[in-house]
Amino acid sequence: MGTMIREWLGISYEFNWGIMFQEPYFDWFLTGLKYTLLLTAVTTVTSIVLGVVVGVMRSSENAWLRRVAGWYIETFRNIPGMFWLFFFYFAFPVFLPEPWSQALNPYRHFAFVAAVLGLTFDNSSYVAEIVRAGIQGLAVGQTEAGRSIGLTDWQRYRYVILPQAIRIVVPPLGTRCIHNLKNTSLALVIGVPELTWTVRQVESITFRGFEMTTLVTAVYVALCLTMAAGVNWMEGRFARRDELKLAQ
Amino acid sequence: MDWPSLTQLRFLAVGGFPYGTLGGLTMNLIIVALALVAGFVIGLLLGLGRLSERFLICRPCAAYVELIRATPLVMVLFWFYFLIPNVLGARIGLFWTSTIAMTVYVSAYLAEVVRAGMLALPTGQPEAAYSIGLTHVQVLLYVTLPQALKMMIPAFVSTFISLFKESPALLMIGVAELMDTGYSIATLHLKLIPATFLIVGATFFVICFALSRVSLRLERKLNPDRRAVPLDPELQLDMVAGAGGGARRVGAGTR
Repeated sequence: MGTMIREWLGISYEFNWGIMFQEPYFDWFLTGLKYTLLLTAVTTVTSIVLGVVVGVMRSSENAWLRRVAGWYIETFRNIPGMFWLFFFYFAFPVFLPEPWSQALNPYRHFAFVAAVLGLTFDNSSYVAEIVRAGIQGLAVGQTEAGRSIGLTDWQRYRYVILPQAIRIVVPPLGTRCIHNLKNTSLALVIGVPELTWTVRQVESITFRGFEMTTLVTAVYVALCLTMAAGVNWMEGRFARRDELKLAQ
Repeated sequence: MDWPSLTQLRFLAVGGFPYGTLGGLTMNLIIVALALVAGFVIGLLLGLGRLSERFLICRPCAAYVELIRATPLVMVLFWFYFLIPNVLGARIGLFWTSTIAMTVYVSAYLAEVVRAGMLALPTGQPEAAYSIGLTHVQVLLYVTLPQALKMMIPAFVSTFISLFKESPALLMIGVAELMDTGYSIATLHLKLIPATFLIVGATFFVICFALSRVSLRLERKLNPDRRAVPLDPELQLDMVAGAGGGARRVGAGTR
């Protein structure tokens, strides 16, 4: 069957789809999967934390906080994620004092740390914009009401603004996190052994890059669709909870 | 701080162009522009196809769009990089390989832009057109599409920005684009690391920042009432700029 299709299409390439399940390639694949998941998990958490802080700063009443957050957002949003990966891996240590960068040299996991830094800063600027849009999308009356019953700034954010903003923010934030998952595929350029690295590794040893790419793409699609389903589920949960509250 | 020489700056701008292969910033811009133009044609067909009521047209278009949108650009690049020369046996060079891959990638996003734009039109428009006896094709060509396309212009600019920002991924298959040329200079001359990164970063920043302002201005000019093109938040490219702009204006009005 496969041969027939190949002859019909005039393809002389012999496919070998089993390549992924041979040793040691399957091990490499598992390593890649592990690093992709780890990188996604870590950067999602860090970039949401950082993004919420910057987003709250961006919508604060202090003009300087707003301005600094604005610079932060514009800087990281208008320069590609790939640049930040290279920056934190190659250029950042140059700016450190000599003894520090010397001490960093033998550190084995620096590529991973640089990838986390690069992806976090890149993604957090988008998260900050989403959070800011969510907060400013609320009616100003919410802030005023919170203030008029004597809440402190912290209480106002914790009990009035953020619980409401989170409902507006969940769908775009989820999409952003999916995008972040896809962005982890760039970490190969600074030597993090994630899924894309597996492809390159298998290609350089066995010339089976096409099969490996197809299989890894399927894994990425599966991961993205799972994450999208998770976001949908969260959205539904928030909506249901709101309905229950309204019913009571 | 040591600065790159003029030759090195030219390398960043056009690669080895007059003597060797084209590269640098020009390469990014040309590939992105070509991919956007070609992707627009495919994206228009896909977006309209996805709105079709025929199962056999709608489902494959939706499947294509969802599949590509769940795939990182790097994977699309690798796929075509391995498919075209190894499997199909054709030799077309890196430039065309990457242009084709970028076209396939961006067409899915443009399809979503087209779909969102068409859905944003008030339903009265096609209804009125049908009621005066226009056919399907006439309604599309003379009534809905021109209006929708006009409202989509800011989204096209945003898509250009996003694709431009993703174009450094081309270095993975060996295209000597801006980031790659900067990286070669920095690794050959370690003293130039800070300056090269500064120049490359500033180039990306200036282009993307200027274009995002253009996009915002166009959006305000074309949709003053802001009813039009509620950009699908799932577009995730740079659509937050659209949503944020709206929220900012709401805030400005009430504060």
